[in-house]
Amino acid sequence: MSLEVKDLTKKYGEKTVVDGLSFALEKPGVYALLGTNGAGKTTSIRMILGMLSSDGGQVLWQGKPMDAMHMNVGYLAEERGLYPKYELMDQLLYFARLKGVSRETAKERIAYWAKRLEVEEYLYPPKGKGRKAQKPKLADQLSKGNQQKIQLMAALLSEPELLILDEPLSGLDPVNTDLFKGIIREEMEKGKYLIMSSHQMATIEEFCEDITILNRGKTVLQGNLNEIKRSYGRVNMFVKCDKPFEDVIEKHHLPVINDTPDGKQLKVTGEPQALAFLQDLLKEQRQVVKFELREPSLHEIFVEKAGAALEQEEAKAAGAEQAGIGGGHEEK
Amino acid sequence: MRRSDYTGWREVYAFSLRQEVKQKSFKGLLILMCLIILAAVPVNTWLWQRDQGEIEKTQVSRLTVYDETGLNIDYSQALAGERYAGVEVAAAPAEGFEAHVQSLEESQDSREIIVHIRYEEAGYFHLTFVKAVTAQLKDKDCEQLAGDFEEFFQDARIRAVDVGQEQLEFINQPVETKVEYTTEEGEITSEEKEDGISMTEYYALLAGIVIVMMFVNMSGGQIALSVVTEKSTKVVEYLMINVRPMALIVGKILAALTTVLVQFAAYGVCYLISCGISTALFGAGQGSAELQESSGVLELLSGVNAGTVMMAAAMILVGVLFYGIVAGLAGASVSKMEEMAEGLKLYQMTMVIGSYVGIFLCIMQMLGNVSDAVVNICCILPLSAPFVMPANLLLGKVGLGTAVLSLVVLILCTAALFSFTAKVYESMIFYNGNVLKLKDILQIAKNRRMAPAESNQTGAAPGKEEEHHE
Repeated sequence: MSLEVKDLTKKYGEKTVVDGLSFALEKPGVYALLGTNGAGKTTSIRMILGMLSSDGGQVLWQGKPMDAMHMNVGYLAEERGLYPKYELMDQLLYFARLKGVSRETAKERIAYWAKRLEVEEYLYPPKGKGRKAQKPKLADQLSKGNQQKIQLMAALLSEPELLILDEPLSGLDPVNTDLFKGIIREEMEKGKYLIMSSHQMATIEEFCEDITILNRGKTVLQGNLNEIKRSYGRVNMFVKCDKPFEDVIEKHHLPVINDTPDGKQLKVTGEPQALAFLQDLLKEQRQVVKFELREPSLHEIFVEKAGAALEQEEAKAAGAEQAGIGGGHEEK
Repeated sequence: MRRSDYTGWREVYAFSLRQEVKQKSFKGLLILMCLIILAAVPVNTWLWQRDQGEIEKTQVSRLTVYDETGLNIDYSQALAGERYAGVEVAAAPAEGFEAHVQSLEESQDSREIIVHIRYEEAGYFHLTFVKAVTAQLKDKDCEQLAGDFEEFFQDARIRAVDVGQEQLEFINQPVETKVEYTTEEGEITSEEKEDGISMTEYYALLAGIVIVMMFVNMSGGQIALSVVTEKSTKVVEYLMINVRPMALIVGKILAALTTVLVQFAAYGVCYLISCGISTALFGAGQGSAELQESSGVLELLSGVNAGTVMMAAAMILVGVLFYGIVAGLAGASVSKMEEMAEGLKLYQMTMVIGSYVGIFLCIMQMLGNVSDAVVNICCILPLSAPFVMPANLLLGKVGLGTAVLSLVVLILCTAALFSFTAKVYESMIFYNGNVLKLKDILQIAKNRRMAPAESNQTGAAPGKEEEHHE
């Protein structure tokens, strides 16, 4: 086991923003930290990295308390940050030096990553008309996507053993999303440990085996993604017919989750109910064009878990408010 | 190997210094100032020499003297020298003065001056110089002539009562008054008890305050801007996994200190080169009144030794460090660049208080309304000490003992401030929201102290919960 997070807690005054987070990365790969906005993902990452002190729990790396300053960690923060008025090369060399990478090695790696991430023109400005090199680009002259690439370079320059990516794909166009995905895949193949937080569930499904879903600081779901999905069973049924089939749906009392031109998504209790439904469709000659029975997607699980937790919280808050009002009346 | 809280300060220092030096504003200001200083002394000397060398001939063509004193004075030699070559000097009967003035008023473009000398009953000689309203004579020209004539008259009236040249020189010797004090043992001590300081000393003290103010302001502003930039751009998020907050602030303060020292060293070297150029072009010992004034300051510093210089330099450095930490703290209280002015109020207020105490003391010293005790207190107070103590020490206005005490107090205060900053800086650097006030910062420190030793409570300011970006 390489990274182990045990009962990590963070409080601001009376408010608990991370409540006993525990998970482990037992082998190289990508671990997903998911949650709604304000769930406590970034705070958890900051505590893991030692940037923010915790109010309880511990983080172990190779069985010993982890200190990001002692080890080689790469970090791509959610809030991208570069010095707006400094040259990009200077900034990258500085970040590399802080990681203990020599200037020469850093330059070699910058050259490699600049080519890989297609940002050479910003770091190595081409010669202008008078054969004089153009002025090097400053960070604020770059688009958001290109700034993100420079940030990813900074995170990768030290060839980290643990790479933490907080929302790495947010704000990227499809081309650059694929570029980033390719790099994440490469890092996985190199046997690196990665922690990734993202709102793009399809991407998480693409890379991650293990996940934790946080809601308001609390862990609402955790484990192996495939096992979680299996535990739900094949309850999502997608059906498209040439003829209307609402009467058949009503007959089987199936809830419609989604209704699109591409078909209907229905919720079933399991395979026997789905097969009975299909047999009725065929019997009634509704000309079935599409029939798919599968496990819920991560997106659906996330919405269900985060949504349920949110509803619970709201109900609790409403109850408390009600009690408060009542109490007020009593006092009067 | 355990990396301390200060590991990485060298990298921060090198990067901050490099970026500051690379800035166009820094290079532009440095070059401009150096050029101005390089040109200042030779140009000043040249202008002074030109003024000295050019003897402007007077426009006055005639001077008529009406003397009612009854003294037997020969006025033919009243206006001597090249300036007055060609000026006709005539003594006239006193009774014709009024008529002569009348005719002078009626004349067009007359270049004559009439001087009327009489002895007043109150016991003084009165010299009245008259020129025509329409005369094309400059006031400055007339005033110079009046001054020169008065000088002649001063000697001439004494000679008129048969005083010889040697006796005249003896009488004209300057009078110097010196008050000496007797000690308790009844001995006369040579130590002077001065009520106030001279203008030269006043200017020297003021210059000392202004120089330290420039040091503090330049370095403090640079540190605060750097901290706010890192916070507002979120670069700090990346930096914090590699260096601790204290290493960040130490690196920045030292870089700011270095750039300011480089600037002042460059200005000093340029001044010396400028003096060298002036000497090469115009010869040694030449210079304007201002330069002679500065040589007066150098005379004031004649009693300075290596110890006092080092003590004054140490005081300035520790003072810049002290205010640098305040600037860093003020910078960390701000989350957005546009709120920087508001956040820096704390830093600016402390600096203004410190420097104004220095300026006020300086004025009081000149007026002689201040006791040694007040000077010593101002030299020991941490806010004013960096501004007041160095110049006062170099000019001998405070003793070495006070200076040592002042330095020790400032070092202790700087260490305490540093320790306080270490407690709150980490919490402040991640704080995102409205500008933190002093009471919020104190609350953060209090929360940390109240937290158990093992629990490192971050201590967001009361009512100022950190914003989370999930």
